[in-house]
Amino acid sequence: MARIRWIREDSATGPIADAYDEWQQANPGRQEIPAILKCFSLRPDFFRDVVAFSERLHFTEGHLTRRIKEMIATYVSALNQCPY
Amino acid sequence: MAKADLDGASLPRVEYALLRFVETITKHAYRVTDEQVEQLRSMGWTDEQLAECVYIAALFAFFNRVADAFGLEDPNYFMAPPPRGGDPVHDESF
Repeated sequence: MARIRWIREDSATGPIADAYDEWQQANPGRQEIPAILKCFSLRPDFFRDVVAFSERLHFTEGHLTRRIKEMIATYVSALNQCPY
Repeated sequence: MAKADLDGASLPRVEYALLRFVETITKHAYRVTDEQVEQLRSMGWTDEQLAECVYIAALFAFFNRVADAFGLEDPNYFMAPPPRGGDPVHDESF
């Protein structure tokens, strides 16, 4: 649980329930929505944007390979002393 | 890598330079210079790649700040989670 409220999977209704369902369908085998994404649950429209934005940028081969992108992300998080 | 210790990592020279760029962006983006970017170009990085590198560095700064402000617990990405600010035992574990 976070110090700012978020909507759990089992209490999601309306737009955020739809957004969670779509995420789960796109990520089979993962029942729980990642905590970092639940931080956006109070703005279901923005939740969708964040998912789309990060997938388009990070989880695809672009000009950089996924390996390099993952390396950059890991290093940024380490510099920020953040486990995410 | 996950220790934020590039000197202890064995990386190709060009990747090391790219991560130094990431470090500048993450710690103080206003200190990025024309010379630093030109040096990266001279190593073979394209502007398309450098642009994407900036976007990824900024995206993860965004996620890091959201995670910290919300107070998320460690997601256990690391095999042996360190105390905050400490030294992880494993590198490249995900």
